[in-house]
Amino acid sequence: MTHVKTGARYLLLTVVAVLLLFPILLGIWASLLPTKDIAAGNFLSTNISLNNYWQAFVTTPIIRYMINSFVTAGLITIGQLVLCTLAAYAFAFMNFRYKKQLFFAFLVTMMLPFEAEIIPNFQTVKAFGWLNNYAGLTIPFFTSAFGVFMLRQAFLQIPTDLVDFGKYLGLSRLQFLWKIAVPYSRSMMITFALYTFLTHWNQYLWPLITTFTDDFRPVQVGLKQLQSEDTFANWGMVMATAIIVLLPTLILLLIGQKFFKRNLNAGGTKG
Amino acid sequence: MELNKELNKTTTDSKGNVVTKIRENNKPAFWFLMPSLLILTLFTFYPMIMTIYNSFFATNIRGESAKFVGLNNYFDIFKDPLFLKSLAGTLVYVVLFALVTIVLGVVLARLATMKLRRIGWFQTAFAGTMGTSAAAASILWLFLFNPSVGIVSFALKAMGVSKTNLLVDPTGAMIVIVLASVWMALGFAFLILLSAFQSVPPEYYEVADIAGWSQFKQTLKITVPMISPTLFFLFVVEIIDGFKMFAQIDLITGGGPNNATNFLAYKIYQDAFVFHNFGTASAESIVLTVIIALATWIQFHFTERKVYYA
Repeated sequence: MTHVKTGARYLLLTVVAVLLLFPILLGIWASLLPTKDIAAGNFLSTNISLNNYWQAFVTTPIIRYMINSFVTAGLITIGQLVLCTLAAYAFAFMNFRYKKQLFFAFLVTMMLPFEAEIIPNFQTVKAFGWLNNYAGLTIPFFTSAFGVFMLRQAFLQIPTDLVDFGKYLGLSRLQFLWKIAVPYSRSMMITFALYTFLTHWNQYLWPLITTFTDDFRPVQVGLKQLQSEDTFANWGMVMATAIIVLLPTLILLLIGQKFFKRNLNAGGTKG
Repeated sequence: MELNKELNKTTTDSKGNVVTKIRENNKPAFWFLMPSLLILTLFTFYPMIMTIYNSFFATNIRGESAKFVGLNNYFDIFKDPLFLKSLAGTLVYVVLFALVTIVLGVVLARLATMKLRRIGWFQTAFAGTMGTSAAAASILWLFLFNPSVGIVSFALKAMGVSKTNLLVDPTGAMIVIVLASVWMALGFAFLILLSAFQSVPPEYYEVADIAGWSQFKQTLKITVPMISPTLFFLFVVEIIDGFKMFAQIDLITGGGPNNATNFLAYKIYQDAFVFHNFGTASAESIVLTVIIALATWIQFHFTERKVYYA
């Protein structure tokens, strides 16, 4: 291949990457500009500073929103890891009555959209006194059929020799789960944990209807709150808050990329 | 050798045990499954049944199901021009969203499988939009198209276009919502397509090279047919995602202008939590459920076949 052709290919890739990431790049750039320059359309302004970020941290509850999101997404991730692992273990290694029927019941939940369940769920959470509360934000999501299937699939990959060896060592079910099954499936476990954290960090509709104060409002709904208040005209600061919200997930994605590439592949071909 | 013998013995032992254990194993399995079953019963099965139940009732001011009306809520929504408009708009959006996402995903995957050094960097960049939440991405897109400070508006003004606020135009708002949604979904679609592209045996391309086929022809006539199961899988996944889309509407258009982007999930939310009309919202929820369940069933069915295929 000639040098010219190679150069042209790199140029093409770079142009596509910049175009694709343009909304983020523009957001980062605007977050560094004073709002009056943005309002004047002076995007080539050289008055760059971190003032918008400083202002966002001091004058808005963005830190509180971030903490709420970390707590919510973190608790859900832990909850799903524990509950889905237990259920996946049962489906992978145990024989019991109605196994097929129960497996089918888990399958059915994947066909039902959460959006269609929000009214009764809102009433349930309200009856439990969990509105505007971490409990209401997390407990309904402590398990997922998707997670159970993904982890069951991983457990089924464990060689039968290893399973038999666990029995030979006289491990109890929980010991086997903790000392053999989980470490053996750690790549899938990490992928699942990252996926769950990302999904629930990004969750929007449920916290929108179940949180009313900044004490529990997660960051995605917080963005709407900031945007609808009078800060809306302060575009520099609004962009700074959007970038602050984007950073944790972008970093997580960068860290988790090799896991996603490996295991999304499995998900793509095996469902 | 001795360990081997032991292992074999325990294997047969445990195999013998398995048969006798099946009956007494019900209890431990119950404890492993119970936590998940409890959550799913309380927050998936029960609410689904309640939604069906509520859809047969008229709602009073306090939000209680007050009067049995049979299928009237369903008859009403399918006579309501606003719901029909919402449904039609949703269908247009979903199809555009899924098609554009897949076409762009294929283009990106093709670019990212060129044999170049450091191609991994570009793969990372192309997957980058996957890390953006719907809310943050909506703010970024709102900023692009905002009539007073948006860079697109400035560009349109500079080009002498008089209508610079796309969001007050029904078609314009639809385009902005489709573009923003495609952008958010593209990272995931790209990663799935990338691994599909990489699974095509290189010999096919080598033979095509000898036959003198262009790169474009190779992609269209070799890659695309080879990865058609993945394309179909993605299409269904994007359709399901599209029907559930909510945050972009809430943050960018608010369902407007003139309900042009008041898509199904957003309409359900509004009827339920803004107008407190739970009966209507429940009937609409069931319509959404039927669509999603059908699409998911097609996906499962197809995935099963695909395992055999692969």
